[in-house]
Amino acid sequence: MSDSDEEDSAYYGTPLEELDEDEVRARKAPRIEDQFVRDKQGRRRFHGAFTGGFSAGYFNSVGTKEGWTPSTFVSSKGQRATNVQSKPHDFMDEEDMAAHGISPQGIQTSANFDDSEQMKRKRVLDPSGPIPGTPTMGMKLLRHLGWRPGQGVGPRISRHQKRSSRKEKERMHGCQGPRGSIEDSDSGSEGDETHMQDVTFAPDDVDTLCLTRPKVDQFGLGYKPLDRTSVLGGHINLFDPSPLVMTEKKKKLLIKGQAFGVGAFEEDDEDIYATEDMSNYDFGEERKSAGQRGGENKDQSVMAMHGLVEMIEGFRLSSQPQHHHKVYPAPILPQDFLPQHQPRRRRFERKESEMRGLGRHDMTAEQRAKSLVDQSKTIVEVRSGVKGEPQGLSKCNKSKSVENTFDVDKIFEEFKSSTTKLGSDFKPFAKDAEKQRRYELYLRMKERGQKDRFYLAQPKSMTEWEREREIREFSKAAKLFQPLTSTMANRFTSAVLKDSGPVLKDGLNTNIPKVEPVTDESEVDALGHNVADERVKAAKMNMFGKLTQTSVDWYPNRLLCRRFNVPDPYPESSFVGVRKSKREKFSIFNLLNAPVEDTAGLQETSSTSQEKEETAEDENLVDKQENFGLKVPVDGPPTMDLFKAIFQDSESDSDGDDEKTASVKIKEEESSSDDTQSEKKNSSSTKNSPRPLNEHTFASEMNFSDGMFAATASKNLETVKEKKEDKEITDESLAIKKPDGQRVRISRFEPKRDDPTSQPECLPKPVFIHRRKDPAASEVPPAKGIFANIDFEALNSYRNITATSSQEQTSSATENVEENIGKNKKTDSDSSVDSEDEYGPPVPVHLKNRLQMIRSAPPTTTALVQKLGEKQDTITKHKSWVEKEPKNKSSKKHKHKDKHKYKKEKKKKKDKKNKKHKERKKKKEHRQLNRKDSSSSNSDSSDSD
Amino acid sequence: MLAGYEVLDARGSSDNSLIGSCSLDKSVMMWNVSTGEALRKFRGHAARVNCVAFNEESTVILSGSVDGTVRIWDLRSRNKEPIQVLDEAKDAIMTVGVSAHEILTASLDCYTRIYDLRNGQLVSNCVGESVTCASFSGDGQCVLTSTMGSSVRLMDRETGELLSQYTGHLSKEYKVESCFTSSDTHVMSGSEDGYVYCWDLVQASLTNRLEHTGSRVVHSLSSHPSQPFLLTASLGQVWLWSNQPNNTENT
Repeated sequence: MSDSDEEDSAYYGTPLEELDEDEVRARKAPRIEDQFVRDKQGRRRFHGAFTGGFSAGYFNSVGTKEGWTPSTFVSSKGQRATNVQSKPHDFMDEEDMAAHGISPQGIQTSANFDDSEQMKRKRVLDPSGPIPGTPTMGMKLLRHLGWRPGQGVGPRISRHQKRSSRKEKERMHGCQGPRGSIEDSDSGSEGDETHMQDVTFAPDDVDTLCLTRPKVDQFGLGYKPLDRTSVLGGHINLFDPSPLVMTEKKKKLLIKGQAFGVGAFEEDDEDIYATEDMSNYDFGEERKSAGQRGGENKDQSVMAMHGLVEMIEGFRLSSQPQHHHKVYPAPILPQDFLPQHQPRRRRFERKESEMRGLGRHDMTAEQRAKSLVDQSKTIVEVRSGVKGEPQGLSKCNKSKSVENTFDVDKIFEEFKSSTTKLGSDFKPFAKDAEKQRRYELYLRMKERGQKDRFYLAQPKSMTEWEREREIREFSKAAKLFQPLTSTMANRFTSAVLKDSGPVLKDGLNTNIPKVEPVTDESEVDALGHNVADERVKAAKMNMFGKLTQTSVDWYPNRLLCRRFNVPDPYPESSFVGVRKSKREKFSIFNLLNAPVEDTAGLQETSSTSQEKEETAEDENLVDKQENFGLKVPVDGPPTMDLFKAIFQDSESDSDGDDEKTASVKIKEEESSSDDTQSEKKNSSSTKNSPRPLNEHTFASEMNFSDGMFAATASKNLETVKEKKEDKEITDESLAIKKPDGQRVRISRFEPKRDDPTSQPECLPKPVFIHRRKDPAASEVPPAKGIFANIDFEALNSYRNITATSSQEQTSSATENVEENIGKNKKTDSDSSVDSEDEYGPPVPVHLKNRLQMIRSAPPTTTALVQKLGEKQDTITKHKSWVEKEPKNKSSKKHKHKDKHKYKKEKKKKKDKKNKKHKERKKKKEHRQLNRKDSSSSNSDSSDSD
Repeated sequence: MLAGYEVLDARGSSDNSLIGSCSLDKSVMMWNVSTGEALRKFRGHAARVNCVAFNEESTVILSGSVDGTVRIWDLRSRNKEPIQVLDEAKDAIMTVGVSAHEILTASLDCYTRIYDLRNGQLVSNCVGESVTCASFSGDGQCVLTSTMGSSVRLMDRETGELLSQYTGHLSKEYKVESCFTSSDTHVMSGSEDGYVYCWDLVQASLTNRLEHTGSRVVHSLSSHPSQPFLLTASLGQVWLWSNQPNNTENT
């Protein structure tokens, strides 16, 4: 085992680890099959049975399970196959590239730039102060005030003061201040103190606090614990050649540390514990001080320069000056620099002002207020029907710009008078007056469906692209702000009471005029009357009750029912709240039911047994009417007029009328007397009773059918006297009836007749004509099931009209109608007076009201009859309107016909009017008679009066 | 204890363990009476809440708000959402009243609405003037409505007909309340002239005027449920009235 042996022999391979004798071989050597050959990179290169194996390709180079697939030749017209030349390094491992001299193909960072430290941003160290950046703003300010670096801050002091303060400081610190050198230099020249009395000095700078001995232990201040090192004897210099170092036989024997006892190699039996060799002590200080005395002085001065009092132990000042970082000055900012980040904008991006679009954000409060006031004005103008141009537009006109050519103005003129309200009352483009003007124009054009012409109004200076974008912008704005108003309108109602709150003097609402209440569209009935308004009107007239009360189904939440200890009224439905889409179920019949019961009871008390029968019959009649299949729910609630007709009429003639019909009914039921007069009456009553029903069932057609009904009725008047002209008149009525050639069926049981002229007499005639019960009819077996209650004969009676009876019937009918007209005229005026009377002293009002209600509520048939009259009445009131249309139409129609007929028509109208007057007079008389009758029969009401 | 905003209405529950209050901050608060701490806070109204009411068993609390909705909050569960929102009113709800199975709301849109839970019906009555207060009579057959047109009306609950009308007081600006006396013989209403007006229920004749010296508006009042006491609130003052000659006043 000598050195020479080692040198002579050569070793191959890595030596096995030396086995320790103690160590037990823990594990067996792995079996051969468990050993794998790996290459330098640690990859398995040989797979499978022996060295290669079929999967070698997959694992080694190809990397697919299927192995290496030869590339197939694919070439198309679009993509020609390129001749790919495979190079050897396509099949080589990456690590082999270098071995074969193939340079690496990937891009790498070169060594120059690879240093990760280079990537780090260096910390800027400013040597001149703790705050980076020179000079700091504070320093700048101080310098302006006359401060110099190195001086203290404060009022200047005299030399004497300075000295005394310095002494004070010395006493405090117990050592000389850092600037002692200055004083030393000054101290010699005390003599010329007198000369420098008027010279003042800046005070000393504040001493930088430097901790000479930073405290590192966790003991209390001033506490010195036992020194552990002292136990084994003080300082041991390990670097100096120690006496324990020996050399033996070329080999160095180095004993480190402390040994106890005397070693075998030590010759002398020294008492190493007792004697302390001086060589054990480090005298470096002395040596150093001897050698570096000059240097120390230099250090001192340097220390003084740095303001250091004492060196920290184990440290010394570096001989080299501290490396100064090069500090570059900050770039000078340009004058117009804004300290705000502005992203780079692409060319086609919209500017910020355009992005905002609606320009209302950067309006001042005044502008906004102004525009608001303007808007309100325009709203009112438009709503109140004054077709003046909105104020904003006129303002725009004033500020007409040059680019508006003549024809553009013409377009504006054309669309200036807008018939309907502008969709949006506000101005989204108020900032740009021209643009706003164009926007309004756009809205109007859109309204009229002439959007395509809008580009004409756009200024010529705009590019095609700008125009397109503006149109898009407008359409978006119109879309955005229009539906909002409609949806919101649903949530609001107009105030009933005037807002009497304090009006701001110079605020926004100084001159906002009162806006007319917007009607709630959801509650408008078929005739266009606002139901809500009607209700308020009724409430104002203290007519509470049916008129003001509405009832709808309301679905409470199931949980709510449980909390209220109430069974769920709609256990099968999970809906909650009120169904909004459903319109109010307001059929005429639920109005009629209540009064019928009341009056029935009243009549029973006051009338004879026969009358009892009558009322029973009356109810029967109502039932029958309902069973006729006419009970079609009315689309919308009826108008005020209808209510008045039903409730307000305090006259009893309607009762009389009713009695008449009732008695007639009885007679026909009994079929005892067949005199002609009764038949007449029958016809009239039957005619009148179902008619209004029809009319109200087709409430949607109300306007139109009213008109024609009035027309037919008025024509009927003439039939009494001018029977000869009957045919002509009916022709007339037909002409009126179907202005556009469309036939309107009054009843759905009426047969469709394509040729109106074929049966002209039938039209003004009643639809239902009573047919006497003949034995033949009674032979018919009674209907069963749902048809049991339906009087088929009555239904079909209109088919049995005979030509002979028609004349009489019509005459009687017209009489009846006339009566009604007259009556209702009277009653109407009466009722209006009544209602005004009612709005008097509060106490008797309700009583009176109720009584009146009870008294006036007539049986259904009379109500209907009256309603019919009412309708006619209203129509005659609006005669001019009704007649105007047919006149125009007829004039058109009769253009090619003789004018004679037209004149005749006029004449007829005149006659009609005269006739009416006469009839009215008649009616009055008749009514008075009736009144007497009713007063006798209806004792209750007369008593109350 | 206090809410951050003005409390507009407060009611005690039937077992006197809870106080429900509503305030300007659009929330309804539940307070524990014994400890005085806030138990729950219901949020959901879009505007200030004008009134609250418990149902008979105090299992739910109803709150009516300026946003025109009545929200019904469950007190039995920890649900933070209302059980149901009654949003039929088109204007602010001024008062909410609850009987055994009916909810009565008075709204500024001139309507009083009665939600009948048992029949699943909503009966709305147009009064013609903005309604500031509506309350059921003791027998539940009549509804007393105060309107801003300075009149109090007694309406039939079923038909909505006007039974009686009481005038003479002044109510045009404030939410002036009205109530029945405990015996249902008289109708009381606050007024904006510093009086409480008292009418005979049947005769509709003014029987008494209670003067609140030094106060301009008497806006709120409520009578004792069984005894002849009346508690009124004028601006900043609460008055307690009894039919004995001495009356006490708390400020």
